[in-house]
Amino acid sequence: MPFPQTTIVPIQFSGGLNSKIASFKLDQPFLDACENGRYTLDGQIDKRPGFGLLSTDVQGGGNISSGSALTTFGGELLLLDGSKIYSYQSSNQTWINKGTIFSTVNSQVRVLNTKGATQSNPDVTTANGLSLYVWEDNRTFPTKANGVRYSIYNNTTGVLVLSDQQLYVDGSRPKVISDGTTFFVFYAASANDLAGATIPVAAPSTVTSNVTSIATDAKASGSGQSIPYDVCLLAGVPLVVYASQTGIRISNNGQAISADVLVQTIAACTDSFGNLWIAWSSNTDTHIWAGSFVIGFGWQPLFPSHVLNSLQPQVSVTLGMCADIEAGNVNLTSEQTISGAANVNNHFCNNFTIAPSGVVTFVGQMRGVGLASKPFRYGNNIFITSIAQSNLQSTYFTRCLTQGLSYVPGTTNIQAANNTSLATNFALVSSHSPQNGGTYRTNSLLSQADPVSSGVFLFAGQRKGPFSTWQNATAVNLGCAGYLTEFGGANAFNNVQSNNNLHIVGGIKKIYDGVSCVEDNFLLFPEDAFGNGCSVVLSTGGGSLSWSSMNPSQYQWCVIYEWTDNFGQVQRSAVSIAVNATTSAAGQKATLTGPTLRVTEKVQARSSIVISVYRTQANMPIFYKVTNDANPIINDPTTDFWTFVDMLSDAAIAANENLYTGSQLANSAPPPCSLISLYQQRLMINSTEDPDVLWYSQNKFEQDQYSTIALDFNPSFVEGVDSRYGNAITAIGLLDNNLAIFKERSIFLLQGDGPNPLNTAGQFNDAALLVSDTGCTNQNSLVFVTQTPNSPGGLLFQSPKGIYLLGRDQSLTYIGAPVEQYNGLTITSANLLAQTNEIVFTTEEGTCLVYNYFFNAWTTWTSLPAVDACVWQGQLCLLTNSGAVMMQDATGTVFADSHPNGVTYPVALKIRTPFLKLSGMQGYQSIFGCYLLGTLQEPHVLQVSVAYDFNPSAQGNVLINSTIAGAGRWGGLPIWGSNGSWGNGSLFSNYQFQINVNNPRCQAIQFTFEDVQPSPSKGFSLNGLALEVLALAGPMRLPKAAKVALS
Amino acid sequence: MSNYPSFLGATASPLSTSGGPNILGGGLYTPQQINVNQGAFNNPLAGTAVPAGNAEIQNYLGATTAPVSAASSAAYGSGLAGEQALAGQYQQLAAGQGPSLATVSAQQQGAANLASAESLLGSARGAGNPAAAQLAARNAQAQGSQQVAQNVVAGRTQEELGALGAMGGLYGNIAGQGLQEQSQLNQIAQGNQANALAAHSNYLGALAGIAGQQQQGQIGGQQLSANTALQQQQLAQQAYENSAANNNKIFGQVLGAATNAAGSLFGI
Repeated sequence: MPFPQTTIVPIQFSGGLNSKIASFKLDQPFLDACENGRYTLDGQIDKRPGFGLLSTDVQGGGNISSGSALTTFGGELLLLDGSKIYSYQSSNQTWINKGTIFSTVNSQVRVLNTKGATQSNPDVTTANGLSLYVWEDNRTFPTKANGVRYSIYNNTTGVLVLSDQQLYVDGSRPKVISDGTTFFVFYAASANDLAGATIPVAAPSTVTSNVTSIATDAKASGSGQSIPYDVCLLAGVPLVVYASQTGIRISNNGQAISADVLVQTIAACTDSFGNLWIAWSSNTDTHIWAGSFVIGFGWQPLFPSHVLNSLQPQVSVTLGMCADIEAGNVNLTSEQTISGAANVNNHFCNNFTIAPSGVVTFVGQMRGVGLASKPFRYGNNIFITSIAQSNLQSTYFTRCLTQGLSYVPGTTNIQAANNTSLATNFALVSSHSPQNGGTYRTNSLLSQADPVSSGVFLFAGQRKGPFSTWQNATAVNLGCAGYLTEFGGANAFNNVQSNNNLHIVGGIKKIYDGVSCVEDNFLLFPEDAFGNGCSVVLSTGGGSLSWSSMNPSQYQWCVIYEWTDNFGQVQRSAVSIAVNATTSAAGQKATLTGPTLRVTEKVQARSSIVISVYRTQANMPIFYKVTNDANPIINDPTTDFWTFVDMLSDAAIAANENLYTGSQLANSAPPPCSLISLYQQRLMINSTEDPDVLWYSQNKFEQDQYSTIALDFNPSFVEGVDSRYGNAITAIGLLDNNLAIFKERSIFLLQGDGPNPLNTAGQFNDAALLVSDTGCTNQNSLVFVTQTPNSPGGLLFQSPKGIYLLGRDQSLTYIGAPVEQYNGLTITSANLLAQTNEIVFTTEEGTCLVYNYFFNAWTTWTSLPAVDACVWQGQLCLLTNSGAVMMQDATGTVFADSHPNGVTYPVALKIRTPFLKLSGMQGYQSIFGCYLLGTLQEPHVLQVSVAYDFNPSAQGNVLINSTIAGAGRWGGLPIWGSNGSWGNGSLFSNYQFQINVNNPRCQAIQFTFEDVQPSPSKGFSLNGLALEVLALAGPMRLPKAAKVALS
Repeated sequence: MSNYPSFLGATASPLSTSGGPNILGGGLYTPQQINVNQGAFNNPLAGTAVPAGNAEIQNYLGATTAPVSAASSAAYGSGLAGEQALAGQYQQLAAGQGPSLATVSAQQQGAANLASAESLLGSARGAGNPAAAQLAARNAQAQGSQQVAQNVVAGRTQEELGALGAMGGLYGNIAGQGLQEQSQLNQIAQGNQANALAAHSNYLGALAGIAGQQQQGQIGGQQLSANTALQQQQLAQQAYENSAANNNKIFGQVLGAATNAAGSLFGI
């Protein structure tokens, strides 16, 4: 019976968690904590369902052991573990390995480009956030400014600490290495002298000496200072291995370790056991040797020098070597050249592993490229960067030497398979400076590829400078650039589905068509060594090319690559430069020779790339296909060139397929990218090497083309975004008919339909600045919500200030204010669960932030660390970093989380009210009773804790066991939890009881209700609380010690 | 110092440095100078008064009974030879041989336009994407080459057709002159026999007529030459316009690409 003059104060739980309001002020219906709850009915909080665990078994054997991304493609659930993509087969609960895919984030440091000089053969190493770049410079003005020059770049601030300094005027072949405290620079100072310099990392502007003699007995491989050498660290000490006049020598060693030979190139490294390995090439063959080397004690070889059992020829232009994945082994790549068609670049690279016994195993081959950097290891894979040199599209390609297309039967790893049929299947990881790269290395040295930070590797290469013309010739000068490759970045594997493909960002943008991942479009268009698509030779006999003594008949031929995906959509490459020929007699035919595309993942067992040749009629501009689609030229990446004889007359080709560029701009491979979004009828991506620019695809959703052709990109289809508020675009997302473009501190909106396929009409409006006080750097946090109780919905995103809503009305709302206390968490995904009106933000740390957009209330779900998540078959699936997928129950029967460590944790619903202040903030009150109203769902143990006066520590608690009959008689209520009284269906279903507090007189009281049931159960639902309160006169009674008086 | 590699991308593309219209195809078209061989049509009597009582005339009067061969007229012969030579030139042109203004003009204009385009590419703001500029330049060369070939053929075809037409006209002119000359000579002979004075008068008239005809021939020849030159100019200009329009289109795209790239680089 209530006391006289008391008041019944109802307390609601409907407001959800709110941490933006100070605890002194926070009031109902908000909650101080709301863990593992779910709002399903107005005025009720339920326990969220638990997560079950999917199998990690891989069909054919093995388990998935790491996770990077989780997504869907059609009805497929796809898991990407960092190097492979797996498709879940629910029928037998296994994953199918669908092949290799890496997703790196590339960036670029522009070190130097000049109009007057070329920077060649650059090298770089990093220590303490500073990168030292060195290069050969041929500038002629001012005099004596050439030679070895260097710059130092601060990777943290993005500032050149020192720019374009001269190290040694008469130097060449520079090489750098660092022990962490000192930069060591080595270079050839004359035909017989190797010299060096040291630069303290802590004082980078100080060059201690720039002509310290390293060796005076070096032996050049040819003219000038062509001294072959390499540098590596052995137990933290830099060692120089060089060609001396008496044989291969190691600096700090008394004698040569080999006979005197004319050496072309040298590579040196240490293995995982600390042995020193040396590989070198003479002008006849390539050698490998390993030994134990201790300064002062000399060299003890492990095995006799072994001539590599490689493909012919065996002379190496450069050598790259590093410790292998298998302990004690090394991984060696040899760049070689081979004679072939005169108009084709014929560098290729062979990869080997060498065991401590000296046994050499050929692993595979990359054709059409030379080496640009030393190999490096990340995780359980080895990578190397190559250069595809050409007139128009030199590009650096990083490839994985330990991964190929694993769907080739019986293989998951090229190295393990040792199958020559996989020779060209080294996985393509990233491209750098597409079409703007440099040349083959010409000084026998490779750039270092040292880590800048965890998972980020840096090599130095060339980059084209401004295009210029002079005396009727066009030219660009090559400069020096740094190329960064980041593995495991937050934006790795971002993806969207469009046009029957899953589009996945990365250093090379990939598509998945249900079979495997391959590069989008073609990384190189057809181009021979002279810049044309092919060479042409006219000859008489059997041909039908036209000829007239009166009018010369000029013909042109061009070439494209074509490939068909699993849905029959045709990808077409950019069009080659046309090659001309004029007939000189009747009956002539044309013999064409062009390069194959050797840098591709579109190889067997996928459908092959087709090489299509187009030709004009005499003196006419229209190109007609002259290769027969029924009997096409198949691209064979194990060969360097193809040949085709064109015997067709002008009349015979008149009805043939026209070159596609008559109706659209030429296609190109999209650039390295990390962000991706759909926008109207196009695909939008960023360009990580040009970070304030967006690329957009052709509009492919015209009704007559719907889902029939691949998405195409072109370098003209780009949109720059205002750089006033930071350069880099950091996130993009679809907002109705707008594209929301986020930078770190600003938001832009892009509108418009964009240009037509030929770029002759139409355009986008310039992206308009919308907000300049916040932005978004987390693409993973973007999710679209159709509506909220207070707004027409929009795009939710995590800004540095918390989770915001960019409204469909272009308003900006701090919708995540209630979960501000979690702003420090790293959001890894954002998914909308339509069935329950929830948006779930997963985090690395394990606390999911859940927003119910119907009730406008936040809750948190605990102990669910995830690297990614997606909705599959209507259920939320979380991916852990161990590669396990946790799938939320949809049956309403599972209330435990099964974790990959094998432990199952019950889901514990926990509600903590605000400090309830029924007489104002510092009033005083007497609480006569507390009445909890809820719904019994399943047997459980409820713990009720009470805290007072803004002290968060609980001052009392009680356990209520719903399953023990007769237990818990307290508070003067009837026995509850007993059969026949309540909780027995039709007799009495209220979950209601009185809680008498142990400190009734207080200024504020806080209740915590928590399910501590050890066995998982649905437990209870909470609906509300009622307090019987008597407001007392006067304010809070403070102890004497807290009372002070002014004097 | 080791040998530095020459960059393969620095592809030389020999181009004419002759002047011409700007990249956009605008600017004044400067016609090629056409040198008409006036000597081929010169009448030695032109501009020379025939003096009364001239000894030559007196001598001539005495032989008025003999028909005067038109070919014996130096002026007429000179004009005829010139026309016949011109006809031969037309014949060569019609056969697709000999110098072609259309060819030269199309090539020169194509080369000039390419040079202008590359120059403009080089000066594009920031030259944002060097590879794109290189590619555009190479494509421009290839397309320009085919366009030049196309224009040459088109121009030459028109030249040939024009030459055939002109040749036909010229032969007709020559034939007409021959008939007229014969008629005049017959009139002179009849006049001599009837009345010496009248014959003299007639002769003078006839001579004047011949001179006039020759003058007309000269004028006609010059007109023909001028017309030919004009036609060639028109052909050249048409070829130029075709080339310019095409190159304008090509380089407009190129320039657009380069500008877009540059603009993108600078956020413009």
